[in-house]
This record gives sequence, structure tokens and C-alpha cells, in this order.
Amino acid sequence: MNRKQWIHKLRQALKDYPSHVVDEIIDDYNEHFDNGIYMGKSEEEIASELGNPKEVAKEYFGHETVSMWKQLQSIPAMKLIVFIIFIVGLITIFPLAVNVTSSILKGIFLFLLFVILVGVIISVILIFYGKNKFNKGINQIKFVNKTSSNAQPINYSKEFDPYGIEQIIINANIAHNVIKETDVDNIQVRLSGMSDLKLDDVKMVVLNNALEISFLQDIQIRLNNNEGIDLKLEVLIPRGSINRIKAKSNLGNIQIVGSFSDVDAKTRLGKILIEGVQEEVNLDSTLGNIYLTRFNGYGSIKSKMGNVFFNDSYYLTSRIEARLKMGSAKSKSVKFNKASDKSFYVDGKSSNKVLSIEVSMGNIEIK
Amino acid sequence: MNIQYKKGILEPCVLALLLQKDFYGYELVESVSKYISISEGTIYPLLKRLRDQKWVSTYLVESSSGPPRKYYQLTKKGRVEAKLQIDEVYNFTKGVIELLQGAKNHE
Repeated sequence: MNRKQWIHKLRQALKDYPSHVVDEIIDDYNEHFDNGIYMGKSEEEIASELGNPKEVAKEYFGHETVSMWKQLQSIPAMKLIVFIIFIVGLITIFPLAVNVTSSILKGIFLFLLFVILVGVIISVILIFYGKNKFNKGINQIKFVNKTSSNAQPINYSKEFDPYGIEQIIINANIAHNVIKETDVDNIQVRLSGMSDLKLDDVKMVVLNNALEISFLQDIQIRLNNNEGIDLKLEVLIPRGSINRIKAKSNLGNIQIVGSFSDVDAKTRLGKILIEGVQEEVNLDSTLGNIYLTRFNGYGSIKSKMGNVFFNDSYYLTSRIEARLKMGSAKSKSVKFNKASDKSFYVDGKSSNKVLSIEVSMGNIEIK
Repeated sequence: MNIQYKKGILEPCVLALLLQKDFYGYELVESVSKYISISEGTIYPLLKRLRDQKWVSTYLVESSSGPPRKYYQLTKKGRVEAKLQIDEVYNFTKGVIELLQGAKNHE
């Protein structure tokens, strides 16, 4: 038997199980074959050492299926027993009810009998006709629970030669996205945290001088909804090698450390943290704050609900033009001049480049 | 040899190996078969069970020379369990071996 045949037989034997569970199992054997071949074995040799795929398949779900069957059978059976006891009880009480002279009491008894009879009929129908469907339902719920608890520590990393890469584009709906210039030779992409994510789910491609990091479409949706709260993406960049950063994350924080000529960051729920002297920036946040440390730059900063904090004004040379709707602009180190009711400006120290800030609900603070 | 014996003994053997270092699947299979002959495919279902029980966790390592490998690592809970099982099996088999040796000497 060769690799293809062995895997096919295993898949056949596992066909009753949800495909994502089976895919995960098959992955392990593909990796096993890959490694065996790498060590110089033939596919046939590896397959025969693995044993009979049917026997292997049995090992996976043997225990669970038995217990699940027992559970399922016990549920309708219990109901049936309860109803039989009810009916027996009623049959013995019924003659008494008929003998009761009061017509109101008689009416109540007859009504109760009617309700219970309808209940029995419905449950009998369910037991005999709906059983298969019912079983399947429970089966699936079981598996869903199992896979969602399959989250495990992740620690992936991948390196890229920075030669020819000018731009890094990130589109990741995960909790923490960190892009950092540091003392490395290659661009290092690291993903860590708790998830059932696989490396295949992460797309990393170099296209038109840009390294693009994103997740497959359906994974993106899943991460956006309930996962990703533990995940952290780190991109370490050799100093001075990359010009442009473009990062987008709906739910997560975006932290950019270093000096770049063009920084574009957008998040809805998370924070944006920029550290270092930049040229052009374009920052956009809906709920989270925007923190700027040792920052200088021009361009635009927009925040709906969050505040904009400049942690130090020392590096700042651009002219600031700020528009606020509800909040206020405060600073101890620079002077906010009032241009109109809700717009302010700060004269640029040495540059006439403009940094425009637009805040709806939050404040602007410059330390 | 009775297949049930082998299946039962596989778990402590795998745990014992993982107590020494992290293994990737193929490496683990090879290491176990060095000592006991098994149908190698049965290790992966065991690893999945250990993972479901949260006794082991996994991480992926990409290599420039070989294929990517999923490494298995004992969790804290797994470590405790591994030590317990090793003790149990060790004491049990020691007794069995002594008993069997008595029979062999008698022959």
C-alpha cells in the first residue's frame, strides 16, 4: 500500500466523523509520511509499519462512541418508563374519577387524561421516528464542544530575507499586533498564544515588494468573533530595512516601534501605540486610545471614542491642527491656540508639515 | 503477544519518553519501536487522547532542511501523571518479572 492508498483508507474509515476532526488526524499521518520519506524510507515501508488504517481509525473514537450510544439510548427510554408509570397510575385513578359525582372534578380528570395522552403520543412519535435525527444532533454538539476546547499553546515563527521587501502589510483580527525594528538579520514573524490555529491558516506572501501577513477568510471571521483574544503576532524587522507599514486589526491592539517613512494603522476596538520618529502617518481608531511616544510625524490621526496621548513633546516638530467634538485639548509643555470653538493649533517647532488630529469623544493630551 | 498488553503499556512508555524531552510524532514513533514492536499507527490516536486530556500540548517547528514538525510537550498535569504512571508500571513489572523468573529457574 502506498501513501495515498493508506491515507484514503483511513479517511474512509473515519467518514462518519466531522471533516475538520478528520483533517486534523490526517495531517498527523501526512507529517509522519513526510518525515519517513525524509529519513529515506519508502511509502510502502512506512505504511506497513503504521499498520492497518481501519484498526488505527478504531483507536480514535472507540471509547466515545460507545458511551455516547448509551447516553442517547437512556434518554428516550427513561421518558418512556416515566410515561408508562403515569398511564398505569391514571388507569387506576380513572374509575375513581368517573365515580365522583361533582362534574367539575370529573372535568379536571378528563382534561388531565387528555393532556397526558397527547404527551404520550408525541413522545412515542419522537422516540420511533425522530430518533435518528435526535442522535445526530447530540453527536454534533459533542464534537463541537470537543474541538472548541482544542485550543493549545501556539508558537510559530517564520523568517523572511528583507532584501527586496519595502512594505509590510498586516491584516489580523487578533489581540496583539507588534511591529518592531530591532537587531535582527531577517524579518521574523512570530505567532504565539492559545488557539487551535494551524500554520496553514496564516497567509504570508511576498508580493510586489510587500510582505503580506493575513489569515484565511473563514479563519478571519472566526478570529473576529470569538478567538484571537489570546493571540499575539510579532513582526521583528531589521533596522532601516522597511519603509512602509500598513496594519489593520478590528479587535486588537497595534503597536509599532521604530522609524518608518509611512505608517498606516487602523483598529476598531484596540489601541494604537506608536513609538519613534515617523514621516507620514495615518492612524485611525474607533474605541481605543492612541498613544504616541518619542513621536514626530505628519499626516492624520483620527479617533472616535478614544483619547490621543503624546507621551512627550520633545521630539515633536510638526504643526498640530486639532479638531474636537466633545473633549478637550490639554498640555503643560506646548501651547494650544484656539482657532475656533472646537479647533486648536500648536505651532510647529521647526517644521511646517501638518499633523491633523480629529477626535470625536475623547481628549488630546500632550506631555 | 496479546495486543491489549501492548496498548496498555504504550501510554506510560510515551509519557516516559516525553518526560526526557519534546518529540515530534515520527521521532516518537521511532523511539518507541526501538524498544517494543507496535503497530506504529496507534501512537497518534494515543497522542490525540493525551492532548484532549491536556496532558500534552503541541507546537509547530518549521525547518529549513526537513518538513515542518509538530512537537509534543508534556504539560504540568502531564508531568505529574507521567511520573505516577512510571512508578506504577515500574513496580508492577518488577513484580511480574520476579514472578516469571521464579518459573524460569524452576524449568
